[in-house]
Amino acid sequence: MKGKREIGLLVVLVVLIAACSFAKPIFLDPRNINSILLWMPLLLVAAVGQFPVIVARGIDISTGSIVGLSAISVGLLVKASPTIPVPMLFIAGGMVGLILGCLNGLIIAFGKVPAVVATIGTLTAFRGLTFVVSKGDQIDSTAIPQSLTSLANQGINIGNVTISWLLFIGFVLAILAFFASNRLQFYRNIFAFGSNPDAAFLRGISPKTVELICYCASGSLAGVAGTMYLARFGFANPGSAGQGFELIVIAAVAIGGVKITGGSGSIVGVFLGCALLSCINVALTVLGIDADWQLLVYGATILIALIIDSVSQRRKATA
Amino acid sequence: MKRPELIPAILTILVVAFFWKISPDFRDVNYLLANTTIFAETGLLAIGLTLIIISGNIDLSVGSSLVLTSCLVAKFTNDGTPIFVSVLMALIIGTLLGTINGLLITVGKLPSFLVTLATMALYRGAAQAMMGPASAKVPQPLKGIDRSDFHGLPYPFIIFVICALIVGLILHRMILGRWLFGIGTNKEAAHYTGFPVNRATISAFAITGFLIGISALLMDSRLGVARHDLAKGIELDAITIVVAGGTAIAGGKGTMIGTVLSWLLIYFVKTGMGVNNLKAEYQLTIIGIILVLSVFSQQIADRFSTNRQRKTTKIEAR
Amino acid sequence: MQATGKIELRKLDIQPLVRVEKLNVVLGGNSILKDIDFALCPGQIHAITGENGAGKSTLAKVLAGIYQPYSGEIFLDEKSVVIRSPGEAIRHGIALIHQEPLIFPDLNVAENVFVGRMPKKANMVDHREAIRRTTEILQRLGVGIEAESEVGNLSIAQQQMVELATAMSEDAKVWIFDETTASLTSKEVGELFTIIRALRDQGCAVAMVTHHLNEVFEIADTVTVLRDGTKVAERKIVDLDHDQLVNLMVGRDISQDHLSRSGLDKVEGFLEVKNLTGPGFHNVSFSVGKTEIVGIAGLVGAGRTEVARALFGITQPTSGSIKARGEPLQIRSPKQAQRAGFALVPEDRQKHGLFPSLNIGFNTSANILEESSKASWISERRLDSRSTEILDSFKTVFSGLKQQVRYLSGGNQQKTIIARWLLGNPDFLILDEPTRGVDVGARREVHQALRAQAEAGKALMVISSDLSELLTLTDRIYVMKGGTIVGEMKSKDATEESVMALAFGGGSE
Repeated sequence: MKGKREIGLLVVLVVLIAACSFAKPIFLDPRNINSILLWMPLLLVAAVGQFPVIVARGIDISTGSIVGLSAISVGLLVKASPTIPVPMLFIAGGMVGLILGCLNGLIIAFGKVPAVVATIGTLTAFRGLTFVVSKGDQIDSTAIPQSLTSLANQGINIGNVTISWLLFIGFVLAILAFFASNRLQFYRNIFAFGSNPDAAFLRGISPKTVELICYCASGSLAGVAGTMYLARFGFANPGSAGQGFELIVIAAVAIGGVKITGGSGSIVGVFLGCALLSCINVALTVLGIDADWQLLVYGATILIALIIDSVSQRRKATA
Repeated sequence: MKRPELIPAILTILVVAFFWKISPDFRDVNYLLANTTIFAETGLLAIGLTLIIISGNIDLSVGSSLVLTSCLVAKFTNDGTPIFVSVLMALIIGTLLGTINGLLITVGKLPSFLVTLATMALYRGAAQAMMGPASAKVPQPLKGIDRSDFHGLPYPFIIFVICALIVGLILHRMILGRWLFGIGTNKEAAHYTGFPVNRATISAFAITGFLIGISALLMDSRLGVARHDLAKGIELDAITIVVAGGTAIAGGKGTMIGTVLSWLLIYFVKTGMGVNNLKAEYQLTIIGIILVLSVFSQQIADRFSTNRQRKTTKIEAR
Repeated sequence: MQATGKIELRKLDIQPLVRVEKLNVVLGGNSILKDIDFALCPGQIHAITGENGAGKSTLAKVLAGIYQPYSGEIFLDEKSVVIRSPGEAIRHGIALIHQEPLIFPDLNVAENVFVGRMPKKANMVDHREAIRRTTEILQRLGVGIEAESEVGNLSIAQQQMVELATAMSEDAKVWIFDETTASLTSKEVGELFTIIRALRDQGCAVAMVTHHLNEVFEIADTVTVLRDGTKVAERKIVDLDHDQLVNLMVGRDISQDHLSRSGLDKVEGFLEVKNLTGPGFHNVSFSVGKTEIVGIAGLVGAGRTEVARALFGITQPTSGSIKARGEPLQIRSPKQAQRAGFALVPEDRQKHGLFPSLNIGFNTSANILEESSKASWISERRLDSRSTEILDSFKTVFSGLKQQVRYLSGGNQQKTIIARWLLGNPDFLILDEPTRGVDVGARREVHQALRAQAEAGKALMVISSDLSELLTLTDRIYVMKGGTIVGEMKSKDATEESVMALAFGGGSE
């Protein structure tokens, strides 16, 4: 039944929020809500980019490095010309990500290197490039203009809760992605390809084109997330910016119901997955669980999502 | 390619010659030998990974298992703990972590790259949750393996070579090895032929876990402390070693000699870079590029040799 | 489905919609089709029939752009064309409906039909329009599926309807059905045939690749018979009866010397199967004795391979019993089967038999690893000598044990696999199409080797679509049809016609 997974996620989300607020009413404190809401945009944008890759039966492990390289690049750009209008910064980030994603796509689609290996390689290559480009120096908060960082701490205020402009940008991109996934021919081709690559080929869908587009999309959205990173944190360190991010992104997409076997999934599910992960993140802090537990939680969630998918596939097959 | 091990062998000679020429600090044989202590730990991981990749799988969690094992051993032993208990602990934990991977993949019927991506986070995350920012002290009896050597050869290096020998024999001279090659070449045919596909696959992961246990002991012994954020990037090194040694990423092809030679190659590349004070991040980048290039050139070589076979033009969908 | 009225055609003036002339197709080094002249005319249902391996499917796939001709020409409306891909075939109006539906399980029907070319409004995919058009097509076909259903949840018959709908949406004029009734119930077949007749009545040219003779007589106007890649005959159905058709398909092959069992008539039983039911077969009972070679005849889809797979532990039977050496057996895996002394030479050697990139030594010795080793240590010398010995005994042509098995010819590959299983010294050997793709000389060698194994006390079961093989090699033949055994006969009393008659079933079904 379509939408079953999404409804399930919504239920889990509501239950989680309810349980946490019951255990620790402080969970609903505006500060915490703002925390969740600040997490979302970067995760959402990058996850929306990773979505087509996984639907097409691939994976992009280099997302974090693309975010870092893009953050640094945009930071350098804004350092060089501080009067650049903010929208240009987002476009610049997207372009950097596009080039990097295109490289991934070429290696995977044309070089026939398996996605796992290719993106592990580019993960480090891009990180190294980040150091080259930044000459090892951090981009300091002094270099980042207010016009950018204000996107993160200003927005529409409901009481003490701020729905930041950054979140709006994230929403808009997610909504655009939603429409794209429904309405664009080549996006529908990605679903077809993920569902049955051989049949897709026989029906005239080129595997190379599909893969290239997917990794370009993943890269450019990760690049936009890089600009968002700058806005959110106000600085960028070549070593730590975006490090380990890909894991959270893949976790969000996996929870969001994109099947391991490819060919199905929805942006709505991805959105809910992001929301769930963000809530879990803040919930951990509120419940007094150390930030040190985060990695464990991410690993466990991906594993649980995988197992649930695997079991439900098995049940479907024997039904 | 008749003897694919020739490639890492030749490249090693070239690399050594290159660095010998350009860096005076490189020309210290004692240093070169002593430095293998650290890289031997990576080598042990690569040995196990060779089995896993030949059987058609991959293990991204080797570094995380290493860290978790080393932390558990350091944390739950003290100076009074007899050495053999610590050793046993490390070996059992390592093997257990590897077996869990194997079970999830075979019984759980999950793809190895996703499973080990998850356990990569899970294991290191467990270490982080357990340790926090603190370091755990390694018990005294375990420490200091890097301070002594056997006729000039560091013990870790010797252990690495012995392990490579033993596991190499398992791979090339024992039944398990044949099963792994068969499974990596054609899993269906392996099943039809009566190969114990699940058992063999789990064994590859268990052996790797065992080797990780050894590696954890070496790391604990060398550093004297265990932390959750050590050995970052070690899985990249290990996978690169295996692939650059001629093992096909898709499975079914590879040799232990190739892995050992490749270990030597990457060792000299890294040492050369280090001696020239190349930043750690750049070193990682170079390794990443080597990884991609190795797989890429394998694919080209493959396509080159099988391209002649096709006269009739049945459309092949990938 | 509404027929728009039968189109009157004066037979003399019909121009074929598609025609091949002197078509030769070579696949994997083997000549599959030889000098075929074939034409499909509008308003006709043209059956293409023949035994397994006659080349029927290949002909269909050439027209559908999946295979390329080695030589010969294809004409569309009498204009010479080259069809390089399935996409081009579709553009020419040729649609191929597969036996296993080519569908996208995660998408709905409408998306399956319009994959890659969804209807658009202002460059945006218009799902509603896709659903509307698909519903219309489904109604025209008289099929009760919702355009929004997820195709993965549909039955095979329904998935086939999705393929039909796709072809209809492409305005196909030439429809080729490749063994499409294999997985359908008789009711579903009836529904399919109604649609096919309507297509013909609308002026389309329809080809039906099938080996179900009753279908040929039920629906076709004309039939072309292929045998071993050549076209043996083309007849109008009205001019033909069942036995004549079987004759054309089977031909009068020379019987080779019968390799009969020497000695006593009393056979010591080995395998006894009673009322076995499982995936693809039901209520199968048969026995195989020591020193016997028992043949299993039947058409593709009759359930023969399925029985073999269940005997060998690849699948599990759901009821019935298997007894070997008088003891009941539960076989849950190939490993258990092996331990019970069974061996299976599988039908599809590429998929289930060979390790293509590994060498001949590996492939041959794969079953004797444990017995040739001490404490898991392999004695390569012993493996190599035993491998070489048995391969030589089959006169296998190879350039050394280190040669990769994928570079061997089909016949030698087959010998390698048979050698592998024989090395394991099984008591019971199942061979599924043992000489498929093997040349005549090698075939003889294999047969002699198999007979020698039987003489040595083994029980053999040979599944084969090659009638002459069954008649010369086996002692008894069971014939399967529709998942169960429909007859048993002694080989020396059997004829090709009698076997085929049972395999195809009577003229009325």
